Amino acid sequence: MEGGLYYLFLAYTILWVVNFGYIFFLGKRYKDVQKELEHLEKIISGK
Amino acid sequence: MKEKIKTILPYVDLPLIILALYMVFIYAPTDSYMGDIQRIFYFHVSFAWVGFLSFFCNFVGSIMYLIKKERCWDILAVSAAEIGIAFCLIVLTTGPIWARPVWGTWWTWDPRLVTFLILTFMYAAYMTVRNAIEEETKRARFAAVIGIIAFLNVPLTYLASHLWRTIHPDVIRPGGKWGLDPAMTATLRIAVPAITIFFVILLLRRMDLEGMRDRVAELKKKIMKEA
Repeated sequence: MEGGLYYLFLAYTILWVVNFGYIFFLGKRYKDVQKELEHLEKIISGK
Repeated sequence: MKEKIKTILPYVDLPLIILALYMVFIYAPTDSYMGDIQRIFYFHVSFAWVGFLSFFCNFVGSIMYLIKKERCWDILAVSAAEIGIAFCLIVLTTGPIWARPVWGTWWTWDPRLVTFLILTFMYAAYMTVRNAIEEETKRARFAAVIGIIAFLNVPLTYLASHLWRTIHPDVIRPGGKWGLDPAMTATLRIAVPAITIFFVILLLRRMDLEGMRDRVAELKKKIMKEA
């Protein structure tokens, strides 16, 4: 199959980019919500 | 216990993924017809199967929510659906990359491909509906119904190659026999659990995120009440 290695490389690159992209996206949302949670808890404890 | 599992799982999964990659690129023999491009298959199939598993989790979460009306089941459903969509995107990109040199085209309107594409769209619709409804219980109820309906497409997608004439290769032949070289089967048998554990890790994290969002909403309500 001509160009097999090129397509193989392309497929695995996309596969890991999507995976790491999702992990990054999840981590970012996690951090944002954690920050907001800490901020709200501070407001409540300060009252 | 849950925290312990969350800590241990990545340490179990990382060596398993490395082993799977070793088997995919070194241990598994090169396919005599397709050549190296066939090596896409191991992770393509693994992500497809685990995508189905994630939609099954969504299905269970949806049914349980409608029965018990407990938020935890809705959290399971939404978390599983989101990861399932991400995994479907992987399947929908690696598939055409494999098809281009093998079939000579990126895409063909084959029943397996079409049902899989519809499946992805259905869960994308599920997420869209969720984002469109503000009220929590209404959102969860509507989403649960869509989740149950969408899951009906999973067995249809899996059986598409048996029900209709298709050019999509089938790993498990009628009668439950594997149509693969033993070394290829062994590679797939490592890749599938590696991706399954990866899914569980993501699912637990995603469920945590949803729990934290609930806590934020709760605190906001409390502050508004006190203000």
